[in-house]
Amino acid sequence: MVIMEQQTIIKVQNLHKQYKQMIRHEGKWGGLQDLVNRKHKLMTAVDNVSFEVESGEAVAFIGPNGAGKSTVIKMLVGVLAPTSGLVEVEGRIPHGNRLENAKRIGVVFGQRTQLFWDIPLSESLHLARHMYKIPQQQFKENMLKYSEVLGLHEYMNVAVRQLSLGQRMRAELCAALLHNPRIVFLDEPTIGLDVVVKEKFRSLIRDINEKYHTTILLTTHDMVDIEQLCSRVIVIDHGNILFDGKLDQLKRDFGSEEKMTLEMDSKLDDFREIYELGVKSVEQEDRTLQIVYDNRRVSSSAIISNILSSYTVKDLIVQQIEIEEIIKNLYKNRLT
Amino acid sequence: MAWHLVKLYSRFIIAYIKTITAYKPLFVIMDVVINVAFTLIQLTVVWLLLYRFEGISSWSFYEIVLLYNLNIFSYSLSAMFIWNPMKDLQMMVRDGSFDSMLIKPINPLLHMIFKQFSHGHLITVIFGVVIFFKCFNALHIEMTWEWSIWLAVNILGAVLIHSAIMILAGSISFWAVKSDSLFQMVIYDFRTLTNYPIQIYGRGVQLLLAFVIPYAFVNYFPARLLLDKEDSSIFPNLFIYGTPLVGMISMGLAYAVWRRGIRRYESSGS
Repeated sequence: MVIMEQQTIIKVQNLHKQYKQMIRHEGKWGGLQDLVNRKHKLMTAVDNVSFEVESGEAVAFIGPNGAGKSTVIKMLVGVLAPTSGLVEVEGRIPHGNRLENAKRIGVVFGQRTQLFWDIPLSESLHLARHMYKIPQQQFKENMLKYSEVLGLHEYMNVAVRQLSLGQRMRAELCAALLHNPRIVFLDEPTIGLDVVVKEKFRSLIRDINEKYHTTILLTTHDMVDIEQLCSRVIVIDHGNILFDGKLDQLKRDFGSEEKMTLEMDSKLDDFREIYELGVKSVEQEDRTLQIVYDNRRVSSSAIISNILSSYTVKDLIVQQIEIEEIIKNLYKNRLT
Repeated sequence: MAWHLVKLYSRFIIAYIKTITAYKPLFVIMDVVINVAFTLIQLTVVWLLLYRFEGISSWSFYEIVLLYNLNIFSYSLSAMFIWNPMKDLQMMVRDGSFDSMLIKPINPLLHMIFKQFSHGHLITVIFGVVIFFKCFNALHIEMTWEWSIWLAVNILGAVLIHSAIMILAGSISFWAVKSDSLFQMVIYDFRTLTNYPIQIYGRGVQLLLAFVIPYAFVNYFPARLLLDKEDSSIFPNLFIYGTPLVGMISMGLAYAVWRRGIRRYESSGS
């Protein structure tokens, strides 16, 4: 048995990133005033962030939009330089050793393409072969493997700009993996994809993480992405790390809230009995009933059986908590 | 390293050719026709204009054509590589797609140059070669080895000057959101000043064209060197050998500014 040596592959210490944002003057002469008298506001995007990632780990960054997730990723891939603090990827400072760092990482940014817009996909991938100096044999094997799993064969001769979002994202993932990167950064890779494509995406990422011990760093708003891919979660908001640990723990501590929506045959007259079970809130609109409860205090089956004993239920949905809710709970926890 | 880049660039060219043959042959043919027509019209206008005057000051008709062509030819050769990248840069900085240039294992400037191809400028380059030979013929220039090397070195220097100015003007995008008007002014308006021997201008313009935006080294000084011509500009005679040096200095300066621009981008993001 081979014992994989655990090494720190990413090291981030007291990382800060501030932007200067120009404040525009208002009114008719605002544009002119902007030229003469420039006013800036200092925005802090990342505020004293520290963490380490071991090689082979799969880590999800979560947090609301504008929380600083992407800024951290951009500093790790070498696009941005930190205002202060340390970023090291495989012992190198990314923005100072950009070319060397680029050879060792794969990047998928959901919002923009790494492929060449006007040329056929196959040509785009061949260009990647030359750019990353991928050996012929490795290129062939990877192309075969990834285009098979991702179902790219049919689109190989289509220009990238003519691909649908789902097709393009699969191609992006393929292009990001051809040079066998040690670390793969995925910034909201599954945004806007349908269920089938998402599934393909996840299975391939899981595969390279398990088989080749490729380190995965991913930002997402999709709880399923995290559940299926990442053992560790880092929650960021307002440039701060609110939580860093196992997903199970996060859900146990802050995500135990569930919401049950019931379609009833008739209106309920009073909720006293339900409240006695220990639920948090009950709301009724027309014949739709919404119950929010903590699954550590009361189980969904207890609520259902209670209601079924005196009413008829037509339909029922139980929803797990959304990431945004978890973050709200994290805040509440911090304040108290 | 260099060999790898040659291979990579040829791959880009292959991709480019495949793309136009597969997707838009008609578009490219139209574009070529328009470019040829435009260049022909431009040349005819200059030709007619100069022909009426039978030259300017002590410069004969074909000497002026050579002067003109040194400018256009080196400009087109440079623009073939640098024009599109610098034109796109503004948009790429604004919408943040310049990020992609910073996460590839290749110099971002080279990457920008590689990923485009400007067939329009290639046409002007080809016209330029034809005009050169027409001039050499008409002026009875004996193309010795030594002379040809001077020609090549001066054209190279001129290409470096043009490229440097384009890179400098383009790099403004890293600092200012809207930079096209300045870009236009530097590249177009000043460049047309050197279509004539600079001695026809006042002292201020001559100084500007030699030291601030060194367009005089693109064609005026090289033309005097290649034609072995005495002239009455305000500068010492030694300046006629200056083009390769000025080219290298300008390019060094431009690349330093470009690097600073990237560092600025690194610290501000999109």
